[in-house]
Amino acid sequence: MNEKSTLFNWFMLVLKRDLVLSFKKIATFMIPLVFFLIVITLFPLALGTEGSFLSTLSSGVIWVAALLSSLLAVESIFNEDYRDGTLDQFLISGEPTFILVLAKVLAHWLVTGAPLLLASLISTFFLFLPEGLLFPLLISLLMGTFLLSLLGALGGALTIGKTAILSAVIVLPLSVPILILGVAVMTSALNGQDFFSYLYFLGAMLAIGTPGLCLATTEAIFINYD
Amino acid sequence: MLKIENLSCQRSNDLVFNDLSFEVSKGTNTEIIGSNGSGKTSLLKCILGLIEKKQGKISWKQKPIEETRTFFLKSCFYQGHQLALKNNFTVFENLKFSHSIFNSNEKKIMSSLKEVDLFEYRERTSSDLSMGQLKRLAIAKWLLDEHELYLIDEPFASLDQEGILLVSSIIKKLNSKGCSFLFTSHTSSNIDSREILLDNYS
Repeated sequence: MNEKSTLFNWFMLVLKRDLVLSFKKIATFMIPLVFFLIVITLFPLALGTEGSFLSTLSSGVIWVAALLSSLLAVESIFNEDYRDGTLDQFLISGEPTFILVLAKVLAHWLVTGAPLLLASLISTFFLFLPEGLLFPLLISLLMGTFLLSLLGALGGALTIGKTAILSAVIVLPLSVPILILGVAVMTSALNGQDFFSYLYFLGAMLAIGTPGLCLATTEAIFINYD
Repeated sequence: MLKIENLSCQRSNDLVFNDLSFEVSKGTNTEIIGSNGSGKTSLLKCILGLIEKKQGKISWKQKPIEETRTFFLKSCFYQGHQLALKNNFTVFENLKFSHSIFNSNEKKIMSSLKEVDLFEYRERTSSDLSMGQLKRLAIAKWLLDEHELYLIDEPFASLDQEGILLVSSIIKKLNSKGCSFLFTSHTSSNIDSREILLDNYS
């Protein structure tokens, strides 16, 4: 087996393992999803059901709800494996930790981020979001939620063995640029302006953030590991 | 094979052990005996690079460990206090997703389970097993792949007499294939091994 296929096997092993584990623990992916939907439905209840008013708020509401929901499962990225000794086994496997981090981030996104994309479709009914905004909503959430998973992994690595709330406190300020760009995409689309420039920014952040944040997370694991 | 020279380890400004030297040869057992907090686990983690050494030299096959880290880690098997088992996985899945099974197949997993008397429990969730059975499941991982060196933290803890005999026989079997063991315990075991007493920082 050559090195490339070994790395791919290692990536797939970690990804498959984390996905199987997440689907066995239904709470891991159901809680962020249910939380997202509850937050979205609370707004029409609290602010009234006037369509035009809700649709102007919709982009901010969806993005804030997505941001908070993705934070709920941040702790599960590394802390569970740290507590039961699996992280020890991963770190001494002789395989690159970078690949481990990448696989864990993708698993986290598939379990928490991807369902939010589907849930956001439901939320458009509650918030009277025009049909034409579905594309910018989905594409911005696709990139944004993956970036949030990358930041979540960094927060999780910086707080290995510590409480979950600490990682949320670290991740929240770091995710402000994603929130601003995500809302900017939606607001521009809502006002009929060109939203692609903001999408390019999000894309650039994703392109730089994927290797950059995975490397930072790898270092954070080793620095915090005890 | 593994040579430790004047190894010292410090954690949070406290000296864990100091000036420790010993050697592990092929097919032999080395037992680190010490009380709680004497640094047995830290020694194993220090060898594996999970915690940093303060000073000293660790060599693997006559080469400094820093030069052969990946090769060394791939030749090792480590089992710590935490058994790296997932409560939500079945007995079979725990072995299937064990990191060390690149070269393992279902047949190997089944034969390992038979060897530790857990074959009938293969579809059971790990959370339904007793502590002793979980320990046996962790021991089944030793048999998935043959490693040159096994670093095991307290292999006899939580086991009944039958379990202790099982571990002893597995260690002997692996020894006969040239595998070496470096393991820790509170008291001397009945395994044929070289004993190193770890106390008072040395």
